[in-house]
Amino acid sequence: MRFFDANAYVLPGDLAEQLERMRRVHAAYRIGGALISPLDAPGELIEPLLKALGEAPSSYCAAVPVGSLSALSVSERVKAVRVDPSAGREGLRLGAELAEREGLALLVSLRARWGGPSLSAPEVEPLLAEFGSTPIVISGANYGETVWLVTSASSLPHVHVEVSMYHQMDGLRLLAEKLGAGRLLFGTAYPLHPLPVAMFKLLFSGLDEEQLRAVAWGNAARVFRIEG
Amino acid sequence: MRPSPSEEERDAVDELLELLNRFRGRIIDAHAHVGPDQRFLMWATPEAVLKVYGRYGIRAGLFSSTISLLAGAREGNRHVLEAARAHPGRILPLYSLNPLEPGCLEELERDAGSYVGVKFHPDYFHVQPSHPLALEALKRVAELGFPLMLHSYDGCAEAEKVARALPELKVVAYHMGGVRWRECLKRLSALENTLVEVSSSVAEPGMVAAAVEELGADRVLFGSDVPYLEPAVSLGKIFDANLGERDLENVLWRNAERLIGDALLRR
Repeated sequence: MRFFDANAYVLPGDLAEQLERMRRVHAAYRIGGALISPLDAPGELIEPLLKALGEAPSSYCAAVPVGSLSALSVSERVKAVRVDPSAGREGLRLGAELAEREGLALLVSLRARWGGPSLSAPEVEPLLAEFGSTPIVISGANYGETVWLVTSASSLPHVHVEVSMYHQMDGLRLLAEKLGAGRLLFGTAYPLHPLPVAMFKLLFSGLDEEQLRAVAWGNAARVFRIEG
Repeated sequence: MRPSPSEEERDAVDELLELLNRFRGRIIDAHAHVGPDQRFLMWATPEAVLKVYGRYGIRAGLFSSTISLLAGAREGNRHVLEAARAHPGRILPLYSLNPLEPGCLEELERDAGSYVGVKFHPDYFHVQPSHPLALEALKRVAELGFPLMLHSYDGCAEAEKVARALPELKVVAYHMGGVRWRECLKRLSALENTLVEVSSSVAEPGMVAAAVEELGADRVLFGSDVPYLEPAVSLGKIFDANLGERDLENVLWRNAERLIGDALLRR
């Protein structure tokens, strides 16, 4: 089984070196591609990230933070527009409009770090419903969002869940049952989290083989239009 | 001699699974719950938790009931005892001690032989363990020979106070201080009557390695915090720490065995 990491990060520093290191570590864990978001200084990091991605396999791509509009036109590696909590509701609308116009997925990060800033899922829900033709990926959800995921998000078929921060016991089985495994995406939050956490969580989730393959790679390939 | 494989050549997934397989059937979870928490659609029957344990090869856990936290400590204690009776040797019960609940100490003394430790949750009980009322109760816990499992998302400020006030009490800082885990390690490093348990949603690379470095592998415990967290989270953090075989054994079950050894003998 191969994996696509739907939530990887680069941080301020040497982007080419970080990407090279990420690919080496990913390869050891059978991860063959990733959607990478620049974190902490996203506006400054996006251009060097896209440049560094030019040397990587086509399955490595970027989520462009809302506010870095110029980057959208410079690289086919851009597969999503990312909205972080700091963007607020105005940023969310801007990101959704941008994703819709460019035919990209919208990655909505409820939180990137435990204890850091967060977006309220119920508050963003009306906007998610409004952009029904755009594939939307909720990232950073945890057990606090469980009820919202199974009661509200489940009725929005274009909304998917990236599970790097979703840790509750038997949680992946619950989401697979209520939303469908076709709407779950494997993610690691590398390098913020240790990779074995995400690996153990998926491999011991109790999902069947077909569901595992969908969560590990297939769903992300469809949502982000990843080749290969 | 075979050259060591490069990162690209090694299969880290296989290595992880092999490593876990080596310890299957011996792991003890130092932090677990049975019982419902409808806020998060968690029901956590004993059977559901043990089914999850089976996937990871976890032998047993130290359990308190969610009812103790959400409704009433003594009501929850009845619940966890019932679960322990149904699954002897696998569900090892902790007495949830809310010092503000009338009759709690008398009940603990009466049923001491049924439990392996005491759980204290300042946020749900709305009293800090360093409060004189609580300290008085914890003094009796120490006299009874129980370890104290203390919810510690505060950088272990309270765990430090209790450990200093009651040096004869073994204090286990659940969650290793939470987001403030570095502060926790500094606070507890010199206090030999303290241990840390590694479960939390905070999953930064290097946490467990730092804990072993600062406290020693005989003061670090695997705990999952099921059902709030899948065991994958703590096991992933521990297996990412590149610990040696002996240190892994200590963290995964030997320390827990030592911690509750006296209580197990009593039972």
